[in-house]
Amino acid sequence: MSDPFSLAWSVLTTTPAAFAAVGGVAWGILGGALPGISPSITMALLLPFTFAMEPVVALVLLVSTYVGAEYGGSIPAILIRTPGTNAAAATTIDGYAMHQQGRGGEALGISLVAGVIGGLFGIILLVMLAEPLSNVALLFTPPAYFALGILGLSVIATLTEGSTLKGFMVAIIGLLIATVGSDPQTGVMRFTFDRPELMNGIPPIVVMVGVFAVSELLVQSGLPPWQQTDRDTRVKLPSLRLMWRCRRALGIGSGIGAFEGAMPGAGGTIASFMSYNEAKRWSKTPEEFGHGSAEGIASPEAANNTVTATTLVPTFVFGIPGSNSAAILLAGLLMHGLLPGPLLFEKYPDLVYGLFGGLFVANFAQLPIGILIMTPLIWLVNRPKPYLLAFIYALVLSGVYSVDGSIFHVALALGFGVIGYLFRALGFPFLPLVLGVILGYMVESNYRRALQVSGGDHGIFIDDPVSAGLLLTAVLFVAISLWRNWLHSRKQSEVEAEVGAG
Amino acid sequence: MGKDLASGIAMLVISGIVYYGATGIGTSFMADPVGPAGLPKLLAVVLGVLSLLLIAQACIKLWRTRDKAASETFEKRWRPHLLAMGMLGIGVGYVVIAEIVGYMVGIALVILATSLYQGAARSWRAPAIALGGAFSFWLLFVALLDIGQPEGVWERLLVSLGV
Repeated sequence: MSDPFSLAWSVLTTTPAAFAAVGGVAWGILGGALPGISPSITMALLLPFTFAMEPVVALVLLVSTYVGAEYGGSIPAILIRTPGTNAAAATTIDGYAMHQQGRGGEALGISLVAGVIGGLFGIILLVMLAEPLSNVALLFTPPAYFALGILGLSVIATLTEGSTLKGFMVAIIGLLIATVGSDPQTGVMRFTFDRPELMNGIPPIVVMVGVFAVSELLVQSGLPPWQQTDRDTRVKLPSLRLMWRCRRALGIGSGIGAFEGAMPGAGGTIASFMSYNEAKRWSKTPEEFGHGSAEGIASPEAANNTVTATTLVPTFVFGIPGSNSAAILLAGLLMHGLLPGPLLFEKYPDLVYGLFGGLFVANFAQLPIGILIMTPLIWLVNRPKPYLLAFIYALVLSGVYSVDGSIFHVALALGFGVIGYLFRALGFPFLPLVLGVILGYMVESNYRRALQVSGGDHGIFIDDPVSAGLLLTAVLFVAISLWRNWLHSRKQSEVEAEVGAG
Repeated sequence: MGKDLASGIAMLVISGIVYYGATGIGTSFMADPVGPAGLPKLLAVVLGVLSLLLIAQACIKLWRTRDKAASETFEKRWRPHLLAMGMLGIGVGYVVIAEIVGYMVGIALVILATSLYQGAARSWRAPAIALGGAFSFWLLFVALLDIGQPEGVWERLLVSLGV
């Protein structure tokens, strides 16, 4: 096998992956800059069109979109005090303060450079960690794979926003959706209602476009128009001296981003807020925070861009995506018939290292594209909201149909859009649903395979040490989460009682 | 009725329907100890139990906050949902007509309907942008990228006539 660098170079020079990286970053910046359109929605809009692409090109396009969207989110955060993505919310504090002082271009420059630094740091960690960790997965037997699926679902259900109970209910709905179609072991049809379109199951891509993109369109239809962005702002790159002054903040952001990215369920939002707080705590000038501090932009932006790379570690190694965006990447992987884990590194090293190479190109490309795209981008995001929503809707409908030329799947995506909309309105999280759909096959097939081996004895899940360890971890996660929820509700009741008495 | 109570009841009904549906799943001579209906039944039962827990939790919460009346007006509370349903209706409309009128006309109607529904000015600009947008989509997906999109009655007729 060639060395990783030669493989990455070969992919980047013999396939359109490098162009995909550049295009993905541009698309990502645009999507991220539209308030309400998160990185995962920007990726979900693109996902159907990657179906016919070469796998490495498709994955580079998706991951580059993620990279671009994280920077794109900081543009409205700085210019109109409205974060384009959740992870850019921390940037709003000092970014908008700088813009009010007439230093908006400088704030955008700091965000861009900090993002590139964080992203490159994340890639180095990804390259160092992914392959060695993937070898751990060689120890996995069918009971262990089942337990891994359960652990992934438990972690996501307990760590995502909102109630743990609702997280689990949504995960079960996801697993149930995955049972639709022909049973993988016996070929018996389940929940197909004699519709030939359902015989092969519901494609995860349809579920994702529905719950992410369609539901967002439905939500946006009831919201007021987006604020217009300042037309005259240009990106102004920071001086080396300024970036040197921000080195501590950049280090904190990259470090926290690396850790949070590798943790399922954490994601860029937590990472950026944590690094903002830590950067303030360790800063020599904490009094500047909140009044236009360069460190207050550099730290969260470095953090959320580091996450874009390190979130690939659990996704590629164990098939457990840590965030909505990573779940879409995993769907992109599965859509091309590729399974995460050690075999991916062994059988398709060109794909893995080509993807890492593409991620590297995307991070570098972010710098010139971020500067060049600014004027057309501001023109585009300032178009009237009715037309922007109309074009996004047309893109969604065209995208879902292009997956396999089925109008039934378009109807299904609209149906999942309604489910996503109801989930948002009723306070149910999305990610456990998506993860349930993606992991459903792995959980069921390994559960049944394990029981076939043991002759129906569930003791096999405890006898296998890896499986037992993973299941114990899942139980601990759930117990800690329930305990945390109980503490939180008790504290809330006490506060309510005090307010009532007062 | 609280949101959690409503969703708990809805989930309980769904779990019942899924369980009932799972009892109708056929068997096979190749069946393993679990069988094709095993997991759906198990999941339905777990969903049912979790739904009951959510209902109980919601009832306790409602009882604790029984004196606080909802202050939002019907209009304020339901308007966004009604707008969302209208938006959904446009998508459903596309599903119904796409294979009759074809991709370009269908997508032009989606753009036109959505933009007008969302408050675009009723002038020549809206249909012009819809037509231009639909042509751009067709050019990009069908002509350049060769990505299949719905064919209308006319297109199918022309194909069957060998044109």
